[in-house]
Parts: sequence; C-alpha cells; structure tokens
Amino acid sequence: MASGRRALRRAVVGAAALVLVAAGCSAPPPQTTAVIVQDALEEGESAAQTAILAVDLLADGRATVAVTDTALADTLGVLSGAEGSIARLLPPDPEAEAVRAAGMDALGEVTDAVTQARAWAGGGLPGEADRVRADLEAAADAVEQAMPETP
Amino acid sequence: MKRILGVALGILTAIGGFLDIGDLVTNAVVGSRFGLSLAWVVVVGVVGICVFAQMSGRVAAVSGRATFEIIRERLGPRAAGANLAGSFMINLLTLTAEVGGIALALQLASSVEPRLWIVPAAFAVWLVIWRVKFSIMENVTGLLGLTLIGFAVALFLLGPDWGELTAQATSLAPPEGEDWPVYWFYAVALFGAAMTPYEVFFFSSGAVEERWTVKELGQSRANVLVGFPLGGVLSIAIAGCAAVVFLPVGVQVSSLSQIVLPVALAGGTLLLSLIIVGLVAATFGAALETALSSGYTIAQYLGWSWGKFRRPAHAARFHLTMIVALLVAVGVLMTNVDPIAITEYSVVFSAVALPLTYLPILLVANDREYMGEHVNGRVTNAFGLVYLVIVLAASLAAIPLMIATGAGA
Repeated sequence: MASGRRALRRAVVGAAALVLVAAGCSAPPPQTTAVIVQDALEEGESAAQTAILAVDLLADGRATVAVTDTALADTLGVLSGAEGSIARLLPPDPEAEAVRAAGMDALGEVTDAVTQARAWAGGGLPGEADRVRADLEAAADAVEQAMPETP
Repeated sequence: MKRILGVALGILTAIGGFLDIGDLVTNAVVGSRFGLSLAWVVVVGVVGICVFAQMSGRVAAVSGRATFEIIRERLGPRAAGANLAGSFMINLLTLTAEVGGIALALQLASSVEPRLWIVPAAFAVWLVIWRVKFSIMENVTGLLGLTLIGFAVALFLLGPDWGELTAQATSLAPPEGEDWPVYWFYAVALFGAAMTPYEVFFFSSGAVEERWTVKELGQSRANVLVGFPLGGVLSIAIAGCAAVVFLPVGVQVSSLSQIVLPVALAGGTLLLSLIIVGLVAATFGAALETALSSGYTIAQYLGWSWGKFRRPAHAARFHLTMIVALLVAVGVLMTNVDPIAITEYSVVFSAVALPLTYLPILLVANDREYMGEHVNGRVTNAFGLVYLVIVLAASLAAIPLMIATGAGA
C-alpha cells in the first residue's frame, strides 16, 4: 500500500515536472521593439475600427447611447493598455526609438479621436457625427502608417 | 399535455441556460480572430457535455443522490477531496466571472460603471437563491436567456456570404496571420467553455432538487440532447456575427460591449435590447448555477444537509458556503480586475480541471451498486472513453499553450 502511494506520488511529481519543463521550453522568446509596437498598434487599429462602428450605429439610430458609450469607454481601456506597453519600452537605438515615438503618436491620435467621439455620444458635441467619424478614420490611417515592418 | 409542456419547457430552459459569460466571450473572441474555423470545437464540446450531463442526470435520477455524495463514497475521502479542491476553485473562478458578467451586461443597459453593479448583482443572486423556488429560478432565467437567439437572427440579417462561412468552418486551420499554437490555445479554451464543470454539478444536483426518478430519464435526455445542441448553435452564431463584422476589419474582441455591436448593426435597437436582456439573464442564471454549485459540492462532500428544497435554516452551512463564495467573488471583482480577463482564465482553467469532474462520473455511471440496470451502455461508454482521452489531452495542453502563446495574445 505504502509503495503504491510512493509510486503514485512519483508519477504525479513526474507529470508536474513534465508540464513545467514543457511550459518552460515553449516560453516565447523576448520580443523586439518593432514587434511590441506592432502588437500595440494592431490593438489601436482594432480600437479605432470598433469606435467607428459604434459611432456609425449611434448616428444611424441603431444603437443606444449606453451601448455606444460603453463600447467607447472599453475602447479607451484597450488604448490605455496599448500605450502603456509602448511607453514601458526601452529602445536600444535611435531607430527603435523613432519606431516607439511614432507608435505613441499614432495611438495618442486614436485616443484623442475616441475621447471626442465619447463626448459626442454623450451629447457634449451635438450634430458633429461626420467630423467625429472623420477624425476616427484619420486616426486609424495614422496607426496604419506608423505600423513598423517586422521580420 | 402537461408532460409535453414540461419537456418543452425543459428544452427551452436548457437552450436559454446553455450560454454563460465564458461561452459569450470566448466564441466572440474566436470568431473575430479565426472566423468559424474553430466551430468544430463547439460541436465536439457540445457532444461531450451531452454525454456527461445525461450521465450525471441519470446517476442522480436512479440513485436519488448527487454527484459529489457518490464520488466521495466511491473514491474515498482523499481522492474525492483532491477532486473537490480543484473543482471548487474553478467553480469559484467561474462564479466571479459570471458576477462580473452581470455587471458588464447591466453597464450596457445603463452606462453605469460596472463596479457599481457588482454588489447589487451579487446581492440579487443571493436573494434569489435564498427566496425563490428552484424551478421558478431555473425557468425564468432560462426563458429570458432564450432571447440570445437574437444572435442567430442577427447572423441571418447581416446577410453573410454563407459560402465563405462554410469554407471557414471546414478549413480546420488558422486563417492567415494567426499561428497554430494560438489556434490550439483557443480550441482548448472553447472546449473548456463548452464543458464547464459546474454544468454537471448543477445538472445532477438539480435532478435531486426536482426529485427526479427513473420515470423522468426521458425528459432528462430530451433536455440535454435537444437543448444543449441548440445552445451550441447559438454559440456558433455568436462566433459567426463576430466573423462577419469584425474579422474583415481586423477588430479583436476584448469586451462585452463589442459582442453586441454586430447585433445592433443587423437588427437595430430592438434586437439590441433583446440581446442585452439575454446577456443579463444568461450571466445571472449562470451566477445562480455556479453559486449553487459551490454550495452543492462542499455540502455533498462533507455530508451536510443541502438543497433549495429545504428551508435555509435546515441547510444553514450549505447557504453559508454560497454566501462566502459570493463574498469572495465580490472581493476579487472590487479590486478592479477585468471580468473579461477572469472569464478568459476561467475557461482555460476549466479545461485543466475537466478530468477531475468527468472521470468520477464515468466510474459511478458504470457501477451496478448505484445504477442497477441503468449502468452505461456500450455506446455511452465508448463516447465516455473517447471524451476522457480528449479531456485529458486538453487538460495537459492548456497550461503549456497558455504560456507559449501569452494566453492567446
């Protein structure tokens, strides 16, 4: 009975070690500045597209103010996370710093546009749906242009 | 006639009650990134939950006892205790995600910050558990949850390219830009969401609550074998809506508010309002089920008096367990942790804990001492064994895949 228990314990420890080794072996390699900026900008682009859809739906009377406001607030949360991941970077050279700065600028533009969109949705900027949408589209374009090339 | 109505009601509530925050979020995330290329996982998961839910319902109906009572008796206190620890922790995580889900759904209706909804939501869950009859609780949330059929309606109204969706569903490979490890990570997450352990605890304990006997086995089978697959169709519809609206423009779903935008696009404010009612009902219903499951598992393991069919004063420790579980969920959510992140982790950790839930059920359902002539047949056992292998593979792969992919990032 005791040897059976020992064998079971060994099997459990062995299995746990195997899982940890597998997990350790499969840990992703460190990412470069360009890859991190690209990921953040993809989130920014996704946020801008979400905001455009939310604004269009409210402008067309297909969504409620509460849903649009919540979608835009959630979008700001995503942008905050994306900006944070770029802001925490320590670029190793001027070229990488330029990539980081361009990424920050583009995400800042989206954040400004979404903030304006939220003010419009809440009734703070009445009758400016077209301008709000145009700003969001311009911000989405800026993100696309700031997208670095990655290997 | 009364019997037919009972069966119909059971099926409808099974459809409406099938979806929870894990299914809603995971299917939308997957749809926005992989289209319908992971729809096959929903099919595999739904068949799996059907196999084991009808098994656990049969065990309860034949023996008159719920899963954990028998697991402890059959496997002994130590093995059952390890089982309980794992299952309870996953259930607590799921409960936290569901209470957070109610708050997020109410934010969509009110625009009020979700943190302000957490305490009222948890209080409402407790109040319903304390005061409302089991059958009323189950039927009301299940029937209101049926409004989530709006996702299927929205998919049709969006007028998708059905050929393209079919091509995605039959491709069984990640689309361009996504890699295989992430594809498999989400496959495991979807599988975990479809086969969440609390569903079988609730199903078997619910059978005891409603005093099912062998006479109700047919109804139990109908609920599971018709209701759950139709619930699975709604899961695929959610993924389909996200695939049609978000995949082409590269939007990654990361919030509940995004999930309803395709519905608004397709059906305007009327369909949107119905879906929000459905979201509140689905998350509230699942919060009730997970809160009850926390009480069921602990009370059944420790041999305490349990069940909503008893007055709270006669099942005090059962009710206390649920109150503590709800307080823990509220405490976690009040730290401002993202409920969607909790949901994503809960479905992955559900996948890790699946063997703890499903292996004992398979053992008990084959034990003539409990089941008499109602032990599993060959076909059920064949399905059960195949699923045990799948469940084990998903369980072992979940953590390494989560680390390797940065939780699907």
